[in-house]
Amino acid sequence: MSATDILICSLPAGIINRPPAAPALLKACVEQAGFSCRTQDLSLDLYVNHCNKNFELYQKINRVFEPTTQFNMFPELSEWLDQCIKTFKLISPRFIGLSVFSAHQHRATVMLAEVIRQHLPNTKIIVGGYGLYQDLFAEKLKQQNLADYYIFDEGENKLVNILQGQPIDDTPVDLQDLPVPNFDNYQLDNYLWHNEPVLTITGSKGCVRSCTFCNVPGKFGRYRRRTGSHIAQEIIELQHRYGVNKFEFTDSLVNGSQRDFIELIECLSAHNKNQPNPVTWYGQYICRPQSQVKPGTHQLLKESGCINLIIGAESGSDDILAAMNKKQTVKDIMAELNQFELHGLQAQLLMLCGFYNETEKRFLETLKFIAGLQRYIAAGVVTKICMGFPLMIEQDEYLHQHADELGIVIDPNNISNWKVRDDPQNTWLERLRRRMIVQAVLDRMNMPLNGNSILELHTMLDQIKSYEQQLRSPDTKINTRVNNIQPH
Amino acid sequence: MEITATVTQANNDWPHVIVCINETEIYNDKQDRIHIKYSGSVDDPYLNLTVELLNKTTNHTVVDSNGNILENQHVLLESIIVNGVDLVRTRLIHRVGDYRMHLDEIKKQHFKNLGIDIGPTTSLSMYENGVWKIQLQQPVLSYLSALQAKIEPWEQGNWQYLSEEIYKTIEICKQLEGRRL
Repeated sequence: MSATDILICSLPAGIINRPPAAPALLKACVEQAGFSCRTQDLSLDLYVNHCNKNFELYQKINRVFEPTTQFNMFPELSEWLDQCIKTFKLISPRFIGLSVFSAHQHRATVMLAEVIRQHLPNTKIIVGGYGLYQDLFAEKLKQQNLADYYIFDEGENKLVNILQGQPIDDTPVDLQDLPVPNFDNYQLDNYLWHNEPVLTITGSKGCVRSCTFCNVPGKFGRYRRRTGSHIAQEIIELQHRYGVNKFEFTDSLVNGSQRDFIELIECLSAHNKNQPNPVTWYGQYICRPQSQVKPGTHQLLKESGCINLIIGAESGSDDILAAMNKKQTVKDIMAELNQFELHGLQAQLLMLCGFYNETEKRFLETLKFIAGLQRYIAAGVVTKICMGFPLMIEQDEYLHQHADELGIVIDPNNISNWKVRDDPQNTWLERLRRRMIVQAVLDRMNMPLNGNSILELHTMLDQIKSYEQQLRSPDTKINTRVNNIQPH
Repeated sequence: MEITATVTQANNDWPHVIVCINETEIYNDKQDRIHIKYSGSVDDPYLNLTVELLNKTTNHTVVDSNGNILENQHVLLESIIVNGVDLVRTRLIHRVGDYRMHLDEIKKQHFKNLGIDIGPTTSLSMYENGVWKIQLQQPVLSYLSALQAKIEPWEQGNWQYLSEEIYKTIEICKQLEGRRL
């Protein structure tokens, strides 16, 4: 009889600047139901035990897991895989859960599922996470019989159903009923912290907006949230339990419900007033017209320990923002930033270049908007501008579902290679060119990239090199998710 | 540029302050409050701003019979806004300049005996004759942005070559596409 019911693993390519959120919450849910559970961050194992905490080496090896790169079995990777098997055998759980957060975990999932099948034939494999949807990954696993159970959406109840041997209940969980995440198995000292450890908090799922380029509404369904005081209590409990003062919200937005958001920041402000080590936090936030924001909100934000908010600014063109259904204008973004400056708050801005209605004129409006942010960067209000990839259109997005009426011609084989019926200039190549122009402007403004943006640039280079290769020898076939751009 | 400072007088005499930008005097006065607005372009590669307190004497520190200070001439820098960025509020001032007191030997010794740091300091309060010197590289906003940049350990590295390489390859692809058409 196995002592451990389930081992939940988070996989490379993963970030190592904080412990992953989902396994900690799942562990708490499973244990609450009376089962034993361990969590293992296999990305951290790779970094600590096989790269000797050499981040450069880790980055190099980690890129092997990226879906667009050439696979290369480094010796360190081979050692890591051997160690994974040893660990699995030692724990010998009844179930192993592999957390497939995105396409970045596809390769590791296949590698690990294969060795589990080989070395622990009696152990059942559960795969779960939103990465199962991408590129029909679940179908591929089923074809190869690499998993026994599939959890496509949230696993809080479903994992318990599987362990209990009961049919899976698809009813969405009430977030208010969830236990406090359990981070006991994580080696918190080994993460690549910036200054201090960070733990994750999930206050809501889904989004109150329905931006045309986003798949969050489709992924998470109806917007669900916890009350502000419930979230604050969890933060305070985690602070006491782990001695950690800094928290990251995994929510798509922290201020979906203004009432609950105000309650949260009021509770944290009150807590911080009596604390030698006040709580600090950051998360994603939506910009609203200032007329809709309760007076005093920004002051409370500051007092609650908010250190940075990630805002989807997306574009400097009101026409594009309208086509995105962002329900915000350029003026609203600037008004928000002015409030941030006044109250000593900081923001990271997410931008989306190459929208379907982006003309040269609208692109120039965005460039002008970005250049206008220089003062806010210099003042320390805007700390990062993340440009991401030029627009990709995925199946579960509004743009894909309404492509015909919007005049978008979808490439069924490639999410980047869509075209616009009435604008022959708006091609993938042109969108990539504009993206690089923005990059040049950001470089001139001395705006550093974040870690993701650097990886994205690597991927864009892979894509364009692959496309060049195709143009030079059209017979070459490249079967990766984003590399099969077809010549226009 | 906008400079605001509060001043305190002693013996009915307000502090004498001179403000210069790249050695051009833009303020030279004794007033109950300093508020200077200056607009103009500086062509030099650096923008040098100085705020100097001068002519303060022993008469400008009034003490009672017990040695308690009753009046003391001084200047407190409240805000220095350059191209819309307040160097004081953002605390960037502490990274781009310092305050050097002009002390005679007697005063130097006196301060040393009391264990007081004689500078240079980044104190915004100027109690002694001396100069606050600020040097900003041009273009100023770009320079300040570089100072503000927070780069996490996992964000380090040279990525400029990536965008250059991508841009070059785009141009090649455009040419190749043209040939195919």
